[in-house]
Amino acid sequence: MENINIEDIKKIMCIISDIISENEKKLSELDGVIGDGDFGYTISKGFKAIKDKINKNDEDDTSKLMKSFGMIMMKNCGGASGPLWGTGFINVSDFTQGKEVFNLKDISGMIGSFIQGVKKIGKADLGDKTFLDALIPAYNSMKNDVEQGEVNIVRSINKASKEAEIGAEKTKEMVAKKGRATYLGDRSLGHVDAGAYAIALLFKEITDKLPSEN
Amino acid sequence: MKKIINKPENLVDEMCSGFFAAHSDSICLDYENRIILRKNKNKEKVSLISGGGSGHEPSHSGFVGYGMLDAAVCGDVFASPSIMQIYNSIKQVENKNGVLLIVKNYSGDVMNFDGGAELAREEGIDVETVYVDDDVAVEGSLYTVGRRGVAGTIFVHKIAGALAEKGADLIAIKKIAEKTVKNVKTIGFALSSCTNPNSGNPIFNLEENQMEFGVGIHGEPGITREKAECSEEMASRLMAKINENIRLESGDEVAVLVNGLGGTPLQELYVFNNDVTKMLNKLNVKICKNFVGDYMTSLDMFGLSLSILKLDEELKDLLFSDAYTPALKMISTINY
Repeated sequence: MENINIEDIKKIMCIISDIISENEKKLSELDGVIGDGDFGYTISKGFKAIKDKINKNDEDDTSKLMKSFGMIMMKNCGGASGPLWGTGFINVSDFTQGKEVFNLKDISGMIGSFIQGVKKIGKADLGDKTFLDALIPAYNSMKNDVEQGEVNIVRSINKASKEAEIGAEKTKEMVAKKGRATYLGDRSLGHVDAGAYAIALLFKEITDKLPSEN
Repeated sequence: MKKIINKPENLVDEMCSGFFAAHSDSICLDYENRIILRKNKNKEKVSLISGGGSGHEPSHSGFVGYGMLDAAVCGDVFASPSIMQIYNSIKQVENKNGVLLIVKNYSGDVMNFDGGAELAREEGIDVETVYVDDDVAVEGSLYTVGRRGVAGTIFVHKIAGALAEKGADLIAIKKIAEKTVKNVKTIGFALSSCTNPNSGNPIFNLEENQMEFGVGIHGEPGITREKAECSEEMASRLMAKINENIRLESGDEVAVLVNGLGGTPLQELYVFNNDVTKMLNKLNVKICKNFVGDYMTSLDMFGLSLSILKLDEELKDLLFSDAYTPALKMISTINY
């Protein structure tokens, strides 16, 4: 697979929505270990609304579809998820303006613009124990593939998926690195960030569900 | 999990409706956006809005009314309301005098309130924000940049609300709100976790004789987990931590808030209040008023927080001004 279009994007977003719904409890539990346990429920509510929007089948422009996803997240999700994912999608909307067919370079660009949006509003970066710790390594892997001349989307996502998993795993050690252990105590050590876990899970499941590269 | 609810996903909507049914004499409900609004709008004053995740009742909807808030926005359990909810709340209360947002310092709340304020500003509405960070337990956490905003927020509602009712302008009200934030310090502890209705499980587990010292209002970890002590000992430990941050001196005047976290018998809050009162008397600090009860809860958590607000004449005058809200009524004309 070298190109995708809006119909593929809709399918992928529905897969994401289902994965999030299926793992709602697990994500909340991970969040609850060191936080308030609202993450799974909040994000799931947003992605259910995104799936509803796709099922209405009333949008055939990718940029407008992405903008509607952003607005849906900002309307339906509170917590940190709404503003972060909302701004992310709106940035992707700007990036995809006028585009109809997306190759690997475009897809990596979409993820890159999503990350820019999240960084802007969340003021977070790599190493802050957020979902960026899984997403940025995945993005870098895809960007690197593009630079190396890779065109196969499935193969590149598959590779990125492994980077996301490593990145999520690394969040376990980040408490100590940031010196947060001093007030959270040892109990917060060794726990993965719920958002980073979610990103790694999404990459993995999408890889499994996409048609194989051959 | 045993809870008096129907479906977890309908909990907040049903709570809002029930709250409206109980207090429809003084408040209105925007069901769609989960906004509790003051019924008799005073269009000649600055409007005050607060809000946050649900599960902290009576915060913040219980403090909507004369002398306090004009609107409270309700998020899901322990999740900030969304940008659009906050934007809609601003649109509903705005008049030519401007709007002040009172936000507890949590990353989610800050992002959503800032986002909502930005949308309103683009339409030319004058919006200012005050961030409350009264919890002295931790310097920062995974969910905040800086200190957390907890029960001390009630004092900000009360004092800023009183000044707004007197007709002051937006900048003056923001200033008094920030002064209140600076003067109020809080710390709490828990003897048991709360159970989030969405997951059905306690957020953390404590042994029979253990307590979480410095716990947050969402079950976030505190400073340490240690042996639970008697009320007098706990009062002394909480006071010491607050005193590190506020430096009480002989002759100072304060207001005290002994706040239940949702699952604490009132009886025990009064026992604790007695210990705090004795302790402050010993320091020769004058208590102008003790507030005791559930003001900023954490679902069904068994525990309490102690807030001390250092007063001067200005703050004292505003603290004792009239207020009429579902959860706090102070009426000076009644000779009681």
